[in-house]
Amino acid sequence: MKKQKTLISDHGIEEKQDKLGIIVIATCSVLDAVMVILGLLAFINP
Amino acid sequence: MKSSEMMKKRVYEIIEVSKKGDIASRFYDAMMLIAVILGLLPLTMKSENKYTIILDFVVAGIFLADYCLRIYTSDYKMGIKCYQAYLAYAFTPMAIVDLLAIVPVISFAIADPTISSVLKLFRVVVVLKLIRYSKTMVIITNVLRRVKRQLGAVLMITIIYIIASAMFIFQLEMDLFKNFFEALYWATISITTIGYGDISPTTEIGRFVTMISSLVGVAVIALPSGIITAGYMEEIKKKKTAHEI
Repeated sequence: MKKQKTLISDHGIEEKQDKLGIIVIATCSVLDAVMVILGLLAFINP
Repeated sequence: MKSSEMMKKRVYEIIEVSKKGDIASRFYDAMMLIAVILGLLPLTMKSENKYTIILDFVVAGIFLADYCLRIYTSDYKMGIKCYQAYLAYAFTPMAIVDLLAIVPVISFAIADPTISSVLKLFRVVVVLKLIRYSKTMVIITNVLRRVKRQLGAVLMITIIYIIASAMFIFQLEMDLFKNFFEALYWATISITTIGYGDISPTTEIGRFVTMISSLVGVAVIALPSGIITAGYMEEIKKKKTAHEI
């Protein structure tokens, strides 16, 4: 029998896959990179 | 639980301060911290450039999305499953801070330079968003909440004393002060023992009042620090006891 992959968080949420978590991680990483680059550009071009 | 409810609960977990093992929530917290720090960057510069303007819009977009998500999940935050939770949450201090953090971006749409520069100053409010992410700040907020009555009483005494001594000195040294505001300024600077010295009494009686003001000032200004320290120690003790149990 094929085992279904589950992700159980500490706070009691059981999900087949934490798709929302993956989307959040990807979005946050992109936004972090954009903000840091903009911050550096703003700082070196006063 | 319905899938939409599960999704809402997960959103709530992510936007709240991360718990052990929740990587997505940790990433979200990190992004918010970076947005807060970089949102303050334009305040360290004399003039704006195109990058700070773009940065302002990106940061405001993040704060707006964060505010919307917090309102969306406010029933979980407030622990009530009805529409009143949304209303109640919108008036909590942290929700107001979240809303004010979005204000600076509106300054770009306003032509009046005075209003625009005032709106830009709201960037400083963003710092208050950090309270959520620091355990020490949470303790200090709890302490301030607990001792607010005592602090209020001290503040009241200080205000009454400042007004009374300002009135007194204003009548004694008529030539020294242009208006009552200057007397209030002098009283505040004396009671806080800062003493810039830009306005100083010339008569004997005026100097005597200054001496009394400075002495009372030491006592009154020291009171809040004692109250806060006592509250802080009590909070730490309470936390230790709870940890032992």
